[in-house]
Amino acid sequence: MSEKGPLSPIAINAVAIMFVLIGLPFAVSLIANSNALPDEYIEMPADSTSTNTRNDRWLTMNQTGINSDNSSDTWCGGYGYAGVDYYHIYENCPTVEGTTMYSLNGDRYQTMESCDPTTYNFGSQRTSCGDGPYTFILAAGVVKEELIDRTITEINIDMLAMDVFQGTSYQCDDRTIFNEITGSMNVWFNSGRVDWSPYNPNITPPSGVPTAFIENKTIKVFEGELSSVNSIVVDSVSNSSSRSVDYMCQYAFKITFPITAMNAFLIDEMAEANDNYNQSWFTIRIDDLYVPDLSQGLTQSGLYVPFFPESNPNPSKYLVHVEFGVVSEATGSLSVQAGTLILSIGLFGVALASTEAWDPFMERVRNV
Amino acid sequence: MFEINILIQLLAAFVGVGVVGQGFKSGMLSSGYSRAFAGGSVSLVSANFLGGFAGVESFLRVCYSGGLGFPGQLLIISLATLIVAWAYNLYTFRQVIV
Repeated sequence: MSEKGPLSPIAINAVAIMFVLIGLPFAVSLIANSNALPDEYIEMPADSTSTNTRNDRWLTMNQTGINSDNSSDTWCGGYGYAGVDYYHIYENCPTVEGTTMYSLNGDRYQTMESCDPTTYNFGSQRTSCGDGPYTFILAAGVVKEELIDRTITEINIDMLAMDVFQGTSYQCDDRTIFNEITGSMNVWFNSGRVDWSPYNPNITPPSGVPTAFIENKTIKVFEGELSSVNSIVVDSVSNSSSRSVDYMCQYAFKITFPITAMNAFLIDEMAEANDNYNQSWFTIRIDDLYVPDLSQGLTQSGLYVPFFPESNPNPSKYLVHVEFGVVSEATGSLSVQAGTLILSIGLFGVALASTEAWDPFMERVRNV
Repeated sequence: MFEINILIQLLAAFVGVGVVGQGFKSGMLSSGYSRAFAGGSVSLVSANFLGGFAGVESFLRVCYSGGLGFPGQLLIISLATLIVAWAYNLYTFRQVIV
């Protein structure tokens, strides 16, 4: 076997240029898009007695897709912990107040309004949530203490119909229909102080409220298909109003989305700069949601899809369970920083290999 | 951050010069017109690729702003070192990599 000689100058040139054009983008992509599996999960809110009202509010809904003849309620919603003094948009909005915390399978579920024309309106009737997109807000301030020194790598959201408490025994007999639910999703992380006037039904809201939030000091956390619409079965239900059900089979609309290492790192940075999540929130927008005719072949499936009141014969509220999958901040940032360190050493090596100092350097390395 | 744009443009320009230089040494790109065209094309494509499609620019911005701490700063220094080395080579030896 012939002995391999040193690389020719042309080969060295090619390697260096390929490193910059191929290796650098590939390494950056690898570092930025890696995703750590969560070590633990943090439920929202941390306080199990939260009522999701006024200063306590963490879950709100913006019906940005509603076709309504009453423009003011289109903007009905609030932004819990949006500012040091808990600024809210339209904090007197009747549709997001007076909610209750429930316990399902030991997990905390908060109520969220659907597009019920009888409860989610004031002044005019509505029979549909419209074609979307459907937007809602998760204010991170309610778990700010738990998020300190941790990095969010995943968010799980379960939604199911409120009438799990009505006593009807559902048959969880056909999960395949969930495969037919499709859609796409955009998630942003927003941070910073927000000042808005209190809600006044006599004043037309400023236009483009959600857009203003999306564009203002924002990290785009996720963009893609709804890849994790699954079903779950609730085995036991109880609530704080003393009603209880021993066993109830119920499907839930489940959304899971990962947060890449780079975005998690940026979220940490932005949140820490804004009072440790006290002024931070996630904006979740679901686009192009397609739900098949749920009445076909499913007499009592117990599946009601949020934003689709047509799927629910008795639309009222939805129970929403949110949890953040987290790793320790040191672990989360370590992977990004370690990758960056290796990349910078590689880049410095290419710089050295591009000069006449390379051969003496390698000679010295060999002699060590 | 204007500085990151400059870094990427310089990097792309040197990549273009390097490709053209090697092509010329290999017997290709014998005319000045073809060298200019090839160099310009490679630089343009490289700059767009690094700056936009591959997301390198946004990553470098985070590094430059200190978002990734010491490793990020080191990456910027390494990148600047590479550009300086290539510029020195080009000035001294009339080729990017010696």
